[in-house]
Amino acid sequence: MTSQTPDTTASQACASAPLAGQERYVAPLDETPLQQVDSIDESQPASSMWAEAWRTLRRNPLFIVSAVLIVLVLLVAFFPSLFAKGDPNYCDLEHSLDPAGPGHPFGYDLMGCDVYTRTVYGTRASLSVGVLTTILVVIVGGLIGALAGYFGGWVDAVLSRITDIFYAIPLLLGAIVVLQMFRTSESIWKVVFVLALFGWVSVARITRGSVMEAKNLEFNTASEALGLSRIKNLFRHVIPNSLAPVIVVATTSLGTYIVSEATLSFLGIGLPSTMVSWGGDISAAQSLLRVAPSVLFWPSLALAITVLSFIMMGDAVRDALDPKSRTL
Amino acid sequence: MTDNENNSKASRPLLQVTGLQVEFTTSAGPVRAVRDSSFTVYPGQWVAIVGESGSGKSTSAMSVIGLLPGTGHVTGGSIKLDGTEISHYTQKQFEQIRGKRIGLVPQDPMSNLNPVWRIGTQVKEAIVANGMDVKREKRSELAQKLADSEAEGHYHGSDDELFIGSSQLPDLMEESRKALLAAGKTEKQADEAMARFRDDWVPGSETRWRVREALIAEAVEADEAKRIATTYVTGATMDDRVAGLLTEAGLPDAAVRARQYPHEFSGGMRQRALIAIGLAARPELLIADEPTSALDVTVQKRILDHLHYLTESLGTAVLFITHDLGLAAERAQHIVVMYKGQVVESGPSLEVLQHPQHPYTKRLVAAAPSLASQRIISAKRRGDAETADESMDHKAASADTLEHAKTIIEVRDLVKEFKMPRRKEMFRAVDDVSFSVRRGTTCAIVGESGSGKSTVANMILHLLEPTSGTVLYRGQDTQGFDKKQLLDFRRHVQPVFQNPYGSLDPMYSIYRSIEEPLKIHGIGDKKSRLARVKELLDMVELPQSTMTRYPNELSGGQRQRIAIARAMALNPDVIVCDEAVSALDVLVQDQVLRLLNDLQAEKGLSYLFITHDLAVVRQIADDVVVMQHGKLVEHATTDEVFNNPKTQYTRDLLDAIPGGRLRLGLD
Repeated sequence: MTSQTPDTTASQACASAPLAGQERYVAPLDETPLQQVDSIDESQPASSMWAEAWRTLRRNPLFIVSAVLIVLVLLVAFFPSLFAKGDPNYCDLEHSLDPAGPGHPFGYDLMGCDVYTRTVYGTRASLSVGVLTTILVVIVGGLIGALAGYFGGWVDAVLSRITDIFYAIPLLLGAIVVLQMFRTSESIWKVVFVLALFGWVSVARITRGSVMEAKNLEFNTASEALGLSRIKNLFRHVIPNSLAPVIVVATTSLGTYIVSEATLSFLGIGLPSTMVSWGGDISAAQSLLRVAPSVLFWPSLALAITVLSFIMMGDAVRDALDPKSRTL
Repeated sequence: MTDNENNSKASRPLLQVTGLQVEFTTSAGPVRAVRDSSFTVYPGQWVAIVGESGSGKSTSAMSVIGLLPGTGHVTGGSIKLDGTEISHYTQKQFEQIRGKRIGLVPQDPMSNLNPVWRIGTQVKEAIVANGMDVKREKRSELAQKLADSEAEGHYHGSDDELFIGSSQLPDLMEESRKALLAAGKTEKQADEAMARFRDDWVPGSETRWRVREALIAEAVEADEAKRIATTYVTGATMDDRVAGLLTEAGLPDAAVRARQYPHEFSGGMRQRALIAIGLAARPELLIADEPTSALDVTVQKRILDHLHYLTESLGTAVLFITHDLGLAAERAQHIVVMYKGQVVESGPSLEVLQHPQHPYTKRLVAAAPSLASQRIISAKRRGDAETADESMDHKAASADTLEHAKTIIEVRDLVKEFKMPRRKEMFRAVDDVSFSVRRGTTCAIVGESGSGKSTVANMILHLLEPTSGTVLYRGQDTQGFDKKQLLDFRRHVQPVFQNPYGSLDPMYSIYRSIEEPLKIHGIGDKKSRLARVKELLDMVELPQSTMTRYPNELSGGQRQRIAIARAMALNPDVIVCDEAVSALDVLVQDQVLRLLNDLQAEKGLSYLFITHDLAVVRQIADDVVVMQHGKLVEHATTDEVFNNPKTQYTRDLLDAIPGGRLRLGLD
């Protein structure tokens, strides 16, 4: 075996002739042309992870449906006057509980206000609470979670315990107690603050987890070895890499904040009663459930569709950003 | 197995794959993973499929047992198992074959055992699933049948399902000892033989006929041997059988081990457990899909040696899938080389290796690190020494540089201790290590996992504080550096890490990744930085258009070249490569090593090269530091370590290089 002269190898080959199907075989070269080792396919356009995610999203019917609905809801929230001509606060007791008629497709409520107009105008309050709460929650929860996850040790211990304490307080119970103190306030901000106060916890937990995962990737060590300071590394590398799950949670919980706002308004401690909102209207209509169910039905339907479309959007975004299907 | 059987079986292939085609359905349409691949396996033979990642080697093998992942399906060709076409089989039909006729040893021992079940339970599962659990009633029936057939003079082992049981083992030992003494052995000889039996005869491991043969081999009379075997080998319980299988796979203390959980096992032990599971039902063919690529070389050698012995004694054929040509040539009689989903060359392994004919095989043989016998010579020097004998030239040149080299990094009495969770004493990851790196040369730190080599690298990079000892960079203690000095140090000492998939920020375009060090150190303006990035991409032989791309679009080797470009951006003196080429395919690895070597010759770089692969060391290093359990075992020049290893551990490492002793005749 050590000899390399062709003679001995030939005799060896003769001595143990290959079995049928195991003869020496060499594929013709033109069938598999040899490619350059590890060359870059320059025919494909360059694309980042976000571009890739967008491409997946665009093809997802769930995303298309929810996007159309959300655009519609946004339009209604920004320009309610385009959709309803009347004044939501103009009520005429003469029409109390009148059924639907021309120009008033949803009928009238107990006070004789047009249900359609009130539903359209209620959009803005619900949506702003949802969006503002989400923004606040992502900033506060994201920051706290990122610091806890990145620095670990006692920072993590302290921040995580604080998170746990807030986690232990039921949202509604906490919100009722806090909002009782600000009954007189007339702004939507009190609802936003209360929801954010009890809502940042889940985002903080998610961020902490994904930051802990991202900070252990080797590129952080590489950056540190390049001389980047730790805190700069957090903002330049770690946070951008842990955003995806936070975005998913934020989109999904936007819907739930709208529900919470409606619940609080329903309980009479949410938005001020002078403000038109779905929760307030549902609350007012509950006593009429037997007499005039449609008064309750329409604002509830609007609420359900809005929440559903945001949750669907969250699902679609998660599919696109799923860290498991992502080719890291 | 008798010779007769061997011959009659050998004439007929056990597995015959012809013109196999496999397709995967993706959102962008069908992708052909395997086109027209053909190979044949005979009973008892080792056949290796060799190829780089994505060549279709695993896909070809998995289609044989109907375990194609995801959307994969066979679209053409035929797969014949012992003459029966199985390519059209449904999953239910495949279940009949899997385990019983074709066993599988999967690639990753870390993820292929269920962490919530005991090892024994998982082996038992393999026995029960294949109807191999010999229940008490069936056992006595079997014993009767065997006794009958033996009385008629038919005696053979392949149907013998009776194994030594733990309850009868003491009696068996005692009787055997008596028989040995009766056969005229002295006390001492008998004790020696008994010691051997005690090692071999673990409950559940040996069958009746093998006990008989073992006794006959020790000069016990045939009738007496048969009497002992039939009286005292009447069947093992399930637990005995599990322990027996694990013993067979080379796990010592199997009965205790079977009650442990996977996390209590090392990688090598898990792989042995997987081998036990794969062979539990005595398949005719074992598919081993890169069974040892996650393990250290010495462990790999031990496991493969054992698998070889085991399959030989059981007469099992092995379809061995590997990316390592040296390993394939060393273990298999027949090699199948795959490239881009096609078989490009196949034949007897030594012949393929010594006279490769397809250009791809030639390239593979030339690049295989395990087969290389000398250091890569840089492009510059290649040009200089076209006429001279290359190895001579290298020796002369290296001797030349050795004298002129000055120490750039020196490590003195380095110690690093880590606190172990729930334990008082500290764990010494690095224990009193001293060595130095000379300017313009490559120093390799070699060791197996857990040897502390990466910890040393991190301390040199100033990413970890040593417990005691010093790291000197150009004679200065790096511990005493203030912020400014440290930034300056960072500029001159750069790392390239192991994992090509983790070392680049996936959110950063290639341009931003390479530009980052320049930005951190405030070098140049936007325009000059752009020019520098282009220059660096040229240096690592990637097109400038790569700049706009993202890491997820590049292959492992390309990413590693980007990482090298980033490390080179600041014109460092020292680059610390922590397993920088370990995750790459052979050809790509060769390409990156050559690139590193050319850069060294051009820029006078010093490398500290951390690796577990001695074969790579030979190709790139001038000096070698061998580490084991945190201690430095050997420190010498590469030639010295390879030609004249001083310690047993280094010799073991050298022996374990697959295909290291094969001679090549590259035409």
